[in-house]
Amino acid sequence: MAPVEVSDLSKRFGTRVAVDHISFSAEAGEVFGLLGPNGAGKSTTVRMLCGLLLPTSGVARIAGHDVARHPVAARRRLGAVLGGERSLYWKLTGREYLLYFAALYGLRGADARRRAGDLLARFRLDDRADELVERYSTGMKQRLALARSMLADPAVLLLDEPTAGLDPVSARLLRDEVRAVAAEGRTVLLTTHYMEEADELCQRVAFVTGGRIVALDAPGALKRRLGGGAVCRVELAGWRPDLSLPGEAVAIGEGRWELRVPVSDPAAELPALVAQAAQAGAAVLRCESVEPTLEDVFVAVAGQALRA
Amino acid sequence: MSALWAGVRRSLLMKLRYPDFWFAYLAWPVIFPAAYLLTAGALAQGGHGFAGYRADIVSGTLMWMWVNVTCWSVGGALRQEQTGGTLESNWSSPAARWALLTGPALTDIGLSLAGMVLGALECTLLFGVRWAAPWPVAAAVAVASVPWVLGVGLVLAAMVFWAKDVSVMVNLVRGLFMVACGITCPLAVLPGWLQRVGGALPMTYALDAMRGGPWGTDLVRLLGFDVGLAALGALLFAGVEASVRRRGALGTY
Ligand SMILES: Nc1ncnc2c1ncn2[C@@H]1O[C@H](COP(=O)(O)OP(=O)(O)O)[C@@H](O)[C@H]1O
Ligand SMILES: [Mg+2]
Repeated sequence: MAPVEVSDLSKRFGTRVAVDHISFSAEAGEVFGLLGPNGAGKSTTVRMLCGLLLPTSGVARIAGHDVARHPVAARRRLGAVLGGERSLYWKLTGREYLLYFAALYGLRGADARRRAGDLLARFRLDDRADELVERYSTGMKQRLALARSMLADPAVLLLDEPTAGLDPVSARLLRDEVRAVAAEGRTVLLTTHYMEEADELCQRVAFVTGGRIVALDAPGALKRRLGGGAVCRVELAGWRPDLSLPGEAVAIGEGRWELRVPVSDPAAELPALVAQAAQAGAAVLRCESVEPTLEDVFVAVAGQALRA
Repeated sequence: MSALWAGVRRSLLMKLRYPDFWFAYLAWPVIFPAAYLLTAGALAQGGHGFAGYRADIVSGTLMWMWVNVTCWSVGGALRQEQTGGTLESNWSSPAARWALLTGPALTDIGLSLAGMVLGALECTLLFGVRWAAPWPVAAAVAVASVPWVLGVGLVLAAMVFWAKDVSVMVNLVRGLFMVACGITCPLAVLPGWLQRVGGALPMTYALDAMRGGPWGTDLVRLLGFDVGLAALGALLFAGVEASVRRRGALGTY
């Protein structure tokens, strides 16, 4: 049985369906990504996996334990980072923070101190370990949260938007840490709305939108779905749905759209596309053909951009 | 000038939308003077003597201050963690919920209890207050008061999850303890209906024992309140926790 098993999981808040019958599993050593725009239902899924939320229907299992029925057993095998730096106590030092949570995970005395010390060193916090968290940078806070989630030596790590708010360098460093954690044989489930992150980090990615998984595969395989060719991007002013141009149009600014069309032969099809757009009465501001990104696939599959 | 009026208008609109504004506006101005009126009534009746009343007033005030702080200790800590964002990381650990709840509250309860003991010592030294109850009785009353205070705290904490803003309930509890338990006067001075309310509140018996009342029966009553209120609090909280996990009210929703 896979360390994370989600089957037919749903969550309704009143009449709003936040998660709509999703199923997936994540293997040991895998970084599994839930990729989708804000409001897609990613955090709700993670909260159900932590036992913080009860599902309306369906089952979530952590290391074989049904989270809703045996939350304590599931939580023992689980580390979670929700809400990033907000999940820290700013008036504690990094070490005090870890020792507090070590106690919540049943670690005591010398064991707890050793574990906290190891994690502080591993996440490059040891030289600032006895400073108040409020003096840490956002990157350090995020690493401290990650260190906390590793206290119980968990089989499964749940990271909700782990790099949100980080500068590019800190985000890359954090991604390296996440990769290393998975390389130890842990299962990492992370949510993100950064497609580069999902592409770079995840062995498999589930596209989530409107509470449903609309595609699930390895990033490379997802990209190959677009036909292996390229994507033409044509920036337009004056696009309207009734122009009946091919591909998906994504609003990218005031009165500007980007038309994204997967093609197999860009040299022939890009000029034709530009001509077609001009003929339809849209002004072409810029055009290019690029390797398809995960976001292109997302747009093609979900009919919606990630950062809407 | 228009900015001044805009500021007045905005703050008025916002204040009116906080329920505890109405409580502060309508209830406290009655509750506070009432406490002093009752004191005046008690003094006018004489009977107990000046020295006796001094001790009564100090013990009543200190006890009320303690309850005032601690009845909100559980809920306040919970609310703070909820809005601060640390609640979910605590609750996604395997630790027992009741431990996560009462741990931080015990700090508050203990700290403020120590503060009240200090206050009592200072009143003894500075004003020469002489206490009716011997110190072992006072200590027993203090210890026996921790569970019921915690119980009241749990009840109020459970309400945090029903209605985010429970300040009205908290103030109601504080006001009730202020006027009904005779913090600055003997219970006998209260109008009959208030005496009955006071009879249903544990602090009344704590004060009675402190003031040289029959401490044996008072302590037994306190223990009854301990069991009852702690159980009620724990029960309510367990029920609310389940509903919270359904509604997802742990975060900021
Ligand atoms: N506790 C809650 N009560 C009501 N609605 C909620 C609650 N939590 C989330 N939602 C709603 O469920 C949907 C999914 O939210 P969420 O899982 O946070 O999305 P994501 O993490 O993908 O941005 C959103 O429409 C959100 O407003
Ligand atoms: Mg989210």
